[in-house]
Amino acid sequence: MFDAMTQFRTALAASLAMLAALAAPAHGASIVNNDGEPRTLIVTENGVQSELVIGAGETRSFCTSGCFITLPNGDRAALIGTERLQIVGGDAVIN
Amino acid sequence: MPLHRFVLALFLIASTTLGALAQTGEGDGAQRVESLQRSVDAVAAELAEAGDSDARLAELGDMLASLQDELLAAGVELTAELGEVKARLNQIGPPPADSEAAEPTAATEQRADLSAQRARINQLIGALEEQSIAARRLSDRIVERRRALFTQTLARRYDITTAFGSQLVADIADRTQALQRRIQSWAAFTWRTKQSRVLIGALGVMALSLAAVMVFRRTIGIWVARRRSDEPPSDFVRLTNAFWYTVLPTAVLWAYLAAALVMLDRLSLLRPDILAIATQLALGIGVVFLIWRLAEAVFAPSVPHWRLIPVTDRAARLLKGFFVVMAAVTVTELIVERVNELLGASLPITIARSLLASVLTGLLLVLIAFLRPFAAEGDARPAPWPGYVKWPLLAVGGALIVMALAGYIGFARFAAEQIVVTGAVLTTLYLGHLAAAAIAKPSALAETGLGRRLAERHGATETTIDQLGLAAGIGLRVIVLAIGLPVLALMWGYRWSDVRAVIYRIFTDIPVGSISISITSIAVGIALFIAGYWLTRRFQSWLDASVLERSRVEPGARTSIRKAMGYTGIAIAALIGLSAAGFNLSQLALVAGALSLGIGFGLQNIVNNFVSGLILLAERPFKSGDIIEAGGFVGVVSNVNVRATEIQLFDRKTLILPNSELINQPVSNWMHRNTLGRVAIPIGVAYGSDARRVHDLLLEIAAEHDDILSFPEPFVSFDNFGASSLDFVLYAYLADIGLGLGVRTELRMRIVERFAAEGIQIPFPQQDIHLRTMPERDVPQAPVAGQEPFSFYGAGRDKNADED
Repeated sequence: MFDAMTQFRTALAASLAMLAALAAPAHGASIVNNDGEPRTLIVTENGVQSELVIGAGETRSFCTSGCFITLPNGDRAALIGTERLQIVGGDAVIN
Repeated sequence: MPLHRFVLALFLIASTTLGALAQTGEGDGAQRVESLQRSVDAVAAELAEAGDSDARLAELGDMLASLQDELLAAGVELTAELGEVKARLNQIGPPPADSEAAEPTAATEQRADLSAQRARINQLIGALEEQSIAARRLSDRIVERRRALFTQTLARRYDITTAFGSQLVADIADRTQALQRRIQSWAAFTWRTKQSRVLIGALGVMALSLAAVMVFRRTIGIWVARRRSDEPPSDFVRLTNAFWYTVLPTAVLWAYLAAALVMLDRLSLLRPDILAIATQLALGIGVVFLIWRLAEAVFAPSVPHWRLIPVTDRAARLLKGFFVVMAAVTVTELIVERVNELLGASLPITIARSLLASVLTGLLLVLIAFLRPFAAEGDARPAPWPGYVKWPLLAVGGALIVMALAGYIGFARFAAEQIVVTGAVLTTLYLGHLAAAAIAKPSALAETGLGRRLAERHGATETTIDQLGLAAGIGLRVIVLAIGLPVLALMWGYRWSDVRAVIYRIFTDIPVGSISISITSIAVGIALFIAGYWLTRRFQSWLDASVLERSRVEPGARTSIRKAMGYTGIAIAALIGLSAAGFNLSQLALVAGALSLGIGFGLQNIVNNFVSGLILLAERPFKSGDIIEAGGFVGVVSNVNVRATEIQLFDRKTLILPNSELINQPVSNWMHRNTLGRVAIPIGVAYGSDARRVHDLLLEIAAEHDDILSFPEPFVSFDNFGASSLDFVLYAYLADIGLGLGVRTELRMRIVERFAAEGIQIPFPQQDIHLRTMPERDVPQAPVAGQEPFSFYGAGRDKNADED
């Protein structure tokens, strides 16, 4: 029993340390720009419009509570905030 | 290529049924966008007319918040449609270049059609976005206006002398009559048109009342009853009782009032204006009841043992009364305000009621401040409040009166309300907090009925119950805060939607710089880890008991397999937990990269020991229960862990030896593969004994001992002509080296006994000293004066007779 508790505590401490060491947001939509040049999105979140510039190959997370976006090619989309987007040739693949 | 395109185009045309479906969806989409647009416009129009009504503005704000959600939901649906259209466009491909062969017209038409759809959907989403922006602007305006209204109300000064005049009397008479007429007309109308429903409603309310009374009498009333006894109950019992004494009956009453209102409303017996008045009335009753229970719980005028603040009986009665009256004043004021709103505003009444309520509240506070609540020794007058209670009370009460009389009625009234309501909530929270602190005290839980039951039924030790008490204390605090903070926020004018948004944010998303942390995910991760850990343990014990033991695997191998399973399981559970907590496992590689430097230096030893532990588990040079000799210690291995091995030394010390020592240094295992071991007993016998007889005797003694193996057979070596003895050594083999100490002792006993019986002497070290007198002339020249007249020559020969 003692042994099990010790192991459990060790494991817990280890996982807490890992939690502290790893820092990765898993919330909001994420977008990765697969194009060779920076792309600009227009994001309207909760009625507030802003521009989001994503460098080539960069991954950003945005839009935590749902938003409207306008893609570089002029297409529009509404997101609930959990999507993963990929920009390919100015267009976006949403899934 | 053209053929391929042609076939594709045909296929697409054949699947226009899907297109038709999308077409209807698109029509719906346009309608939906339009209706949402109309809703936003409607809110804008109402905002223009809302004027100075704060309640109406707040309502509109809520409507806009839900409109935002709807706009987004509509957009998300359209986005999905747009995705389909885009996918089909991609299937058709771009229009052929001039150099390429022409495509079928059907494909061209289809492309044109899809492109038009795409443009239309984009336009619709654009319209939604615009509406979202418009809605946001409206919300901002509402917030701005409410803030302005609030400051205006607080800062406005009324001329109170003009309010108290003939106009006030006339208005009061007029409003009373109007209220009477409303109620009469409602009652008469309802009775005439909905007789059966009225009866059902009356029966329903009666049934509800009965149920509420029954629930109270049978359960809650008994749980929270405060028995008179000579022995004062413990702090914890008093506090928890006070908390439940307040909360449970209040909850019952509130549930009863809400149920009755909902039922009457469902039967459509209540006209909107009557419903508004009834709701306000019910709320008022609920609040007064809460304060009454709270005051009773804290001051307990009739049961002094249960009093939380040690005031005198008289003070307790007065304090309880004051607080209840204060609550009643505030609540009455609110009800009058609501009724006044319904019947048409009247400035004199507004001023009069606010003034009265503020001044009364202020007076009550001043009265409380002047109370002398604490019993003094002997016949002296009771002691007053300490300064830090008395002066703030006086200041606040006085300020309320002064402000109200100076005409700042809005502010005075606001302050009075907040003091009463916030005070009640804070007191309840404080009671919860005190109860939490009391339960977390050492052995507080063990003394309660629950603690005794736990000890009896589940055999919980005192330490366990104490730990449970601590956990309960922390849990209670969390609950108190989780309920109290939102309630306070609501009291201070936050809308429920704001509070909900904050709560939602806390549980899903706490932004810390560019990172956001989610409590829910972390909780889920931890829960998954614990579940994984538990499953691993279960699997381990199942494997051990049902498979390994059953298939008679050697115990050492069993331990190794079980441990390896345990470590693997924990590692997998940790990984699952981490990924569920929202941590990107690919970042583990990054961390590992960063750590590798650390591993190279600081963690070298730990990793070394860890890997050594894995090797020990796989190679198994020793197992639990083996007697080993390592690092200069001899002991029984009690546990092989992954970093260090526990060795029980014979003096009952536990040696924790890092595994690397066991891998890198020589380890002798007395029980590797078998437990066979040899004991050696050196023995010396006196010169002159019969050496052959001694040899045979020793072999006989060994053969007679039960624990000594006959094969390999014992033997005796004649080692040495010692200083004082002939030295023999008896070697014998044991099946279990663990018995060595006992066997050696027993053998020596028997040797002593047999040798004594046979007359063989075991000598102790002897020295013969030979003295010789010399003639005078033979004495050498003394180098130092005072030399002894004789010298001695002797052979200092000695040797231990018996050693092993």
